[in-house]
Amino acid sequence: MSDERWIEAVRSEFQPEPLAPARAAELRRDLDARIEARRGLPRFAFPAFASAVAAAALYLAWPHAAILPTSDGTVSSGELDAFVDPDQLTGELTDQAEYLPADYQGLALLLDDDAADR
Amino acid sequence: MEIAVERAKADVPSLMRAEEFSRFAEARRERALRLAFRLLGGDQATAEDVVQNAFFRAYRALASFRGEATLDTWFYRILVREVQRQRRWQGLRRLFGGDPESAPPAVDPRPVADPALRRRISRALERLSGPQREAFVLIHLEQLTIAEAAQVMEKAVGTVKSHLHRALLALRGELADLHPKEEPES
Repeated sequence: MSDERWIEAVRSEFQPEPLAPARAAELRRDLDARIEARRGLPRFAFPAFASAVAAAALYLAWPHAAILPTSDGTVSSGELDAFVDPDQLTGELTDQAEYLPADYQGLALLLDDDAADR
Repeated sequence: MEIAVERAKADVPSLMRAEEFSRFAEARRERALRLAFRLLGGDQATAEDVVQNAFFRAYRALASFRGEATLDTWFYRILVREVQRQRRWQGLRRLFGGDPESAPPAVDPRPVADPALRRRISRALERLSGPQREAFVLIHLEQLTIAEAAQVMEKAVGTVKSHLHRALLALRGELADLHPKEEPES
């Protein structure tokens, strides 16, 4: 109750001067101009441009062919052939006498005479 | 309240038209200016700029109005945020701009009211925390209900009551001797 008097005094004393008509008109024109400028911009221009750039970047970064898993989750030999050229890997895929380091090769021969166990 | 919110949602498409929004703004400019003036410690020029920015932000945000509050509450929330942004900016300018005085913002030099009294009120309000000042101004000076003020401040009702209580305690100590001006007898 005792607060009402001083609060009323603050309310009545602490307020802005009424806007002069010229100033009010100036503010109204300024706001209208800002809104018009905003409306002039195509509303979806920036989002559309940004989406296009993102899509292009994604396309360029993405592998152009992907190994698609077969229905049972394995990769078929046909799909592997599409990505691996066996002719280029002949050296790695054929048997090599030096496949095991010499020490291990000797050890293997001691354990089992059959060299094919390598 | 529900009806008001539904009506607000229905009003949005028409407000998207520039001339309609202009009318919306003009109907609220005086009250918005008064609120910004009080929250900014009596700086009329800055209050005018802040109100103008708040109207423009409101126009830009109209499309995202979700109808969770009335249009007025929604707009005053934008305005209070704009005031907070301005105060942060002023604080930074004081911090880095070489202004050694942490004095409250200048009170407009054109008042018809008592300038010394305005400065005194401004200083008392500036000593409050931001939420305390907002609660006091919205509820006691702008006469919003506590629930409306809570919506504008985006705080719980209990929190707003607490801020208001502390604001009253602080201001009572400094301004309790003020009396409303007597109306001249005719």
